Amino acid sequence: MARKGNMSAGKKRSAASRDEKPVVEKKEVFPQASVLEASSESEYESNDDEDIIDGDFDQALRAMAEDQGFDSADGEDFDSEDAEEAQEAENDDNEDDDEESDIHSSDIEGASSDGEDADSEDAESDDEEFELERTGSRSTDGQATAFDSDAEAAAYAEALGNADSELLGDEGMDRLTIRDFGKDLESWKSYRKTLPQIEPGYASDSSTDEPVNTIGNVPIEWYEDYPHIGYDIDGKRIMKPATADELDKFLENMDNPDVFRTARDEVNQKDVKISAEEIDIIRRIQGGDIPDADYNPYEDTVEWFTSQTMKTPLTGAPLTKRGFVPSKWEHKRVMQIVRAIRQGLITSGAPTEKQESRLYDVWENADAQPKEDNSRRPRLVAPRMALPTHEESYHPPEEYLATPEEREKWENTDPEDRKRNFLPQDFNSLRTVPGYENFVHERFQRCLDLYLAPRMLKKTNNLNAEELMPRLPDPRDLRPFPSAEALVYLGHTGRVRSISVDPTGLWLLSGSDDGTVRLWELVTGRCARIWNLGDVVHTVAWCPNAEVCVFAVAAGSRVAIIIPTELCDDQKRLVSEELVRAGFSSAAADEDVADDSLPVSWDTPTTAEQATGMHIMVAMHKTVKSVAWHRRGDYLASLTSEEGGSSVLIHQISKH
Amino acid sequence: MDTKSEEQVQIRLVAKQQKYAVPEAPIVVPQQLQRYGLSEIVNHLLGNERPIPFDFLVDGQFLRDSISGYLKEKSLSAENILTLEYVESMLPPTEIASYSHDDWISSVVAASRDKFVVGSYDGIVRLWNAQSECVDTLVGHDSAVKCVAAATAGGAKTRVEFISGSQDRTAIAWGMKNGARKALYAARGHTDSIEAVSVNPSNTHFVTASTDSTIRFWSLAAPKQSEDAILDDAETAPLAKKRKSANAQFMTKAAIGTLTGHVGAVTSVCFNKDQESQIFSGGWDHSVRTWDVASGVNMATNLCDKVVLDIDYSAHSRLIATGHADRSIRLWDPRSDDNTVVKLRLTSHKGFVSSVAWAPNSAYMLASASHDSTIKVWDIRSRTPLYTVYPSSDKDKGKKLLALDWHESLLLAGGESGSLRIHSVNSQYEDAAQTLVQAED
Repeated sequence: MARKGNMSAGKKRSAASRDEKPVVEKKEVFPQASVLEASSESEYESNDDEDIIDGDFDQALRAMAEDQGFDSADGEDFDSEDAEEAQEAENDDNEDDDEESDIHSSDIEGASSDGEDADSEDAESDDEEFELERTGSRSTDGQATAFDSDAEAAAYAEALGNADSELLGDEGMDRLTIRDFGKDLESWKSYRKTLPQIEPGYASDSSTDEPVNTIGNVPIEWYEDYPHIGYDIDGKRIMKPATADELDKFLENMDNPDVFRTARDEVNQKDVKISAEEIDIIRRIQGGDIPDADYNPYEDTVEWFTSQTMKTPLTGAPLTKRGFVPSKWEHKRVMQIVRAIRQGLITSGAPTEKQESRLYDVWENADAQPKEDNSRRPRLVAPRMALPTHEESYHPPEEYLATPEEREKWENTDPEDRKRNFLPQDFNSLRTVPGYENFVHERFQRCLDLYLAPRMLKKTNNLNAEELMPRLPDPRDLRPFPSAEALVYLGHTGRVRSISVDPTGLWLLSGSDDGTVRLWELVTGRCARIWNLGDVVHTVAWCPNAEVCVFAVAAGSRVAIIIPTELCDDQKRLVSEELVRAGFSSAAADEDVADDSLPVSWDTPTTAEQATGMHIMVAMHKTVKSVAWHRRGDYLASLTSEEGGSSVLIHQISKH
Repeated sequence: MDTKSEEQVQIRLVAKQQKYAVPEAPIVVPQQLQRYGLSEIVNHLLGNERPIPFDFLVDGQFLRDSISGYLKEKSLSAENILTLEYVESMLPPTEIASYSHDDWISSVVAASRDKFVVGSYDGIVRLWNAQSECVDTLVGHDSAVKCVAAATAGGAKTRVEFISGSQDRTAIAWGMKNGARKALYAARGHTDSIEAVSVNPSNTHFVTASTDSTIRFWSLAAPKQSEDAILDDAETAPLAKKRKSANAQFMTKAAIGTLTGHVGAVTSVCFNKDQESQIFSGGWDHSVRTWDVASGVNMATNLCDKVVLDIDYSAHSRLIATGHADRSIRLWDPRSDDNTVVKLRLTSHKGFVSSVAWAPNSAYMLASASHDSTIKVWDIRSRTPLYTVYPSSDKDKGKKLLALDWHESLLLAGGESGSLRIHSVNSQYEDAAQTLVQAED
């Protein structure tokens, strides 16, 4: 017995030092044990009895826990020597535990069987024994017992230690100490709030035999006209009990002293007596208070993590020098890296400037092709491997399996010529599939394929031809467009190369391959005048100046400036003639030497030509393809077929 | 088919002309009847021995289809009484003669039934009589003659007979002087080709329209002496003297007034025959303008969106007809002030409508000549032309028509082919027009 107590105490200590929990579990220990004892009702009572035992020891225990227990528990972390010693001791204990745990369990069985056989002779002591053993074994398990905090655990262990010492000290004190120990547990129980015991029968569904109405949240008025009030859990009707008439009710109420605290449960059709606690709760709810009477909203704050600095800190060790002096080894390592950087063994990712060597390949850029910017080129994606088919399955359908002939044929063909490099094999389960011996080889082959086989990105054009065609505009958007032929100007015998409408819009000029320039009345198509220039007329152009009536004709290698006399009145004619003569007068003043090297020569036409209105002949070396006037009508640009710089010439009519 | 042919309709026949009046009681006729059938009915009612062709008007439109077709088109019920107005039908124009010219005919006017003045692109004005004889050949213009107008002014000694305008920027008045037909004077002042000339109804003044975008107003009487001094400024005077012009010898006439406002060439001008001082003009600026020549004020400007090539005013219908480059004829009401002055747009031609002429005695009849070488006769109550006169000779086919004149029952037209085509139009409408005018008075 004593040995048991000793052992269990040691186990308790070890459990405490392992920081294992909880108090709640401990509380349950006793009820469980009592249930196992199979004397349920009395067990509670005995517990209750134990509550009453005087609190002297309890108080002493608490004081001890406060003075000593905290220190020992907290000190473990800091005082390494103590901790190591404790650990060693624990280890020893644990070893003992392991050795003796089997014996324990047999003892427990023996004890329990004893209890049953002897029919609880000396029941109390047996109880205590059993309890101790239970707790001991549980702590040996090391999982079930744990403590709320170190302090608690330590205090607990200390208490046990005390109990042990007493136990060891005197064999006769055995019973008393064990009782005290139980008392100690009770003190721990007081740490948590005790809730009122649940009365079996009331407010517990299982203990009631009455049929419970299961109609749910349905207005009770719906059942007013029916004889039943609802349905029980089996679906049977619950009939309304016969109600007493008003007189009976009155008389009953008069007799009933609890009438003021009786309420009617309509669903279950019975009167419920409201208890004093419930009335209290109702009153509290009505008063806006917290319904729970025991709840103290103004509990003292427990400063678990205090902000106050301790006068005597838990450790007095001074800060070491090590924390302030730079590490020697770190310095050594840094210097090593510095040296490596200086030697160029470590480089940053940035490209270094390449030093040009004195010798270089002269023909390096011989067939200079623009270097392809590889960084811009999209990555070539590796071709996908074929997905496995049914053949590769470890358990393929039978038709995939090779027949002996096929197998033979496959084995006889050269590995290069085989259609597939394996034969379908059948295994009962994936577990029996052996490792694939060709795995590495095939990986290697694929790597070679990817590395050695040239690949290129094939660009496919998905354009269809219709998209490439320019979109035709809707004819409605092009309006107004010519819809009918209005006039035909008939007369030219050669290809008409150019037309020009005069600034007033009344006359039309056309130049043709037949060597003629024709003047047309625009609105009627009447040919008013024909000039024969004797050469292919490439361009005709009216002078855009409305004050003069002059046009230029590019015929062959000449440009003729013509005044159509019949179109202009006296005033206009005068201005026009002044314009075409101005150049010649200035040329005469300058007295330029006629130079053949000049690309242009300005001539006065013959008298016959002058009679037709031609006033200037500008001769050039090559065929004049086009002439164009400046907006002001003084400058004239000509384009010759000549190649080179002098193909476009700008002429000034009033000065040349 | 039988039931369909038996469908009938009640009609009431009315006539504006008293001599053709029939009882107004409604009569029942088959719906299938067309113009000919109806005409027969009217002739039967009138008891005419020689049937007169009639045309029938429903709601101011000519009946061109059967009655049922009309009802179907307008989706009218056959149960109502249909009122049909009938008028004597016009006979198709018949070509009487064709006078050949060497060059294009630019303008034509009939001074009387026996005197046709033809202006030509060779610069010569020719005078023809009804017997296909070229009575006179008048040379005086330097350039193409663009327009001619008949006039009757002056005394026995000096009488202006007609005026011609030309591309040489002058208008020459021709007439009898001392028993000989010669140029009486040249109206100078325009700086560009004269496109149109019009003489006022009382034969005292005339107006000319030119491509220099002005209209000038002249008196018709021959000047006592040359008015060169008014025109010539110092700068161009020597040039003008030096100029070897065929008409330089003629007396110069200066304009009384110049109307400016057009922003492009003015192609046509005509007098309002009801108001002496009012003229209408059309030009390349798409405008039809009304001017008061006495004050020189542009009274109204009406715009369409096409070039106006010719203009004519009818005293009977009081409408202006204009020919356009968009191959259409537009009818304008000069009296309405709102913008919707285009009353009607007639489209049937296939070329520029170069010339339009109202019938001299009708409020409805209109003739037009076009570049498509056809003459079309219109009744403005119908949107479709009454008759289209195609060129009879191969020489004229495909040649542009440039000039048109309607004188009494004669329709004269000329153009590119150089042949003056003279058509006879029956003037049965004269009486109708007379009655209409009387009714309005």
